[in-house]
Order: sequence, then C-alpha cells, then structure tokens
Amino acid sequence: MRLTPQQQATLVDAVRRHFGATARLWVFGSRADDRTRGGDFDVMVRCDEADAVRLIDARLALLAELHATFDFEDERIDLLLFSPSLHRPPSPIQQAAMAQGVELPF
Amino acid sequence: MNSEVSSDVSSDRRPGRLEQARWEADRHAAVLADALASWAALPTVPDLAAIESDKALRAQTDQILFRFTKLQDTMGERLVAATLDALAEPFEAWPMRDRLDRLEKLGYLDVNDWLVWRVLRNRLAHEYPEAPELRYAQLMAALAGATGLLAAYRHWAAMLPAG
Repeated sequence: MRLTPQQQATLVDAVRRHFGATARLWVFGSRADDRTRGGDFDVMVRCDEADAVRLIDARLALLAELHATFDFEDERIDLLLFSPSLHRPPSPIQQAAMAQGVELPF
Repeated sequence: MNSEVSSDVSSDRRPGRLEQARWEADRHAAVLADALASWAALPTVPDLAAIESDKALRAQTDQILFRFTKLQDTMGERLVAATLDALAEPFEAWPMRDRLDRLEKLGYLDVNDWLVWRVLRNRLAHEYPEAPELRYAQLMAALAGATGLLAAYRHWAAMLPAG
C-alpha cells in the first residue's frame, strides 16, 4: 500500500475521532496497489451511524482537517461511506473496497 | 498556482488586477444570490427523489452549485492574489496555504471554512454511488456551503481597498 506511515497514522487518527472507535477503514484503488504510482487516495469508512446528516458532517470535517495537514495538503481524497442501516446491500464499489482494499486497523 | 502569474514576478502592483478579479467574482456572486433566494422561497424539498424527478428543481440546484464552484474558483485563483497584491504583501513566492493564512490574519476569511468549501466543491466534480439519504445530505451541505461562501465573499469585498 502506498501511504507513508505518517499518512496512515494521520488518517487512522482522524477517522477514529470523526467516526468513532467502532468504525472501520480501508484504502482501495491505486493507492492500495504497490505497482502503480501517484494517484488519488480512495478511502472507505464503514460505521453504524444511521443519520445521513451526521455522516456527511463528519466526512466534511474529516476531509477539511486532512487537507489542513502536511500529509494530505494538496492531495485528492475520495472518501466513500458505508453504513449498514443506509445501504442494503452495499453497492458494488463498496463491496469491492471492503473485499479488495487494505484495511487500516485502529 | 495562478495562470496570471507569468514571467512577471515583480512585486509591484498590477493595475486592474483587483478590479478584474472583483468584477468576475461579483458576477458569480450576483447570480448565486438570486439562485439562493429562489431556492429559499420554495417549500422544503424532502428528499433527493423529489429533486431528481423535477426538472426545474434540478436546474435550480445545478445553478447554485455551478456558481458556488465558479465563485470559489475565482476567489481562489484570482482574488486571493489580487487582494494580497493590492495590500502590497510580498506573496508571490508563498504557497496557497500561506496566502490563506495571511488573509485570515488580516480578517478577510476563515481558513477552516475555506477548506470545508473546497471539500464541498471537489465533491461536486463526481457523482458517487452512495445511499440516496447520503447524497441528499451532501447536496444540502453544498447548498449551505454556497450560502456561507456568498456571505464570506461579501465580507471580503467590503474590506477591499478602493480600486
């Protein structure tokens, strides 16, 4: 996976604070593939929050915070959300992210 | 970062730079204000399906989001540099973040708000296959961001030195 240890730590810390300790986090797409170079950061967060407004607010705050850090300042981050109470079943891209992505443990 | 910054790296003020940036931002702000006023006059739209099934509502939200994007781009690509230029700040070699921090210190904007609007704006570039409730909440957040950006631009414009 092509995230620096510092980027991983920053991401895990921010996701845990904004989505809670029971959330799970995957990196998928080109950044999960060691054979490629550069590229956007495709991230998926799974959490049990059922309130869409709170989820969107949390994502906004998280991304704004990441863009304020040196690690992600000028990077493009696509963060997909999956909440079991809102998605029945997960969409194909969500399924693929969870099945093929690299999970970053908290 | 700025196509205006060509071979001329002099710190001398460029005549008309601020006026041009402001003229462009004013145009976007005026249309955005009209579109937001029309939207606010409507009954509350309950969900995404209500918008997506109604041509006029779709056009109205698209208008707001388009001008939100354009106003933000004009501010980021032109007004930031033009304002610092007008204030005789030695900004030419500064990265964008330093320019924003300086403008915040001078009272022109709130950097955290700006970063949130950037996230909202970048999110508009694609459609994502998320739950309709999430897409609706994301749209509402973008409309709220448009209101916030318009207010921020008006505050900024009111602080600008006379041309």
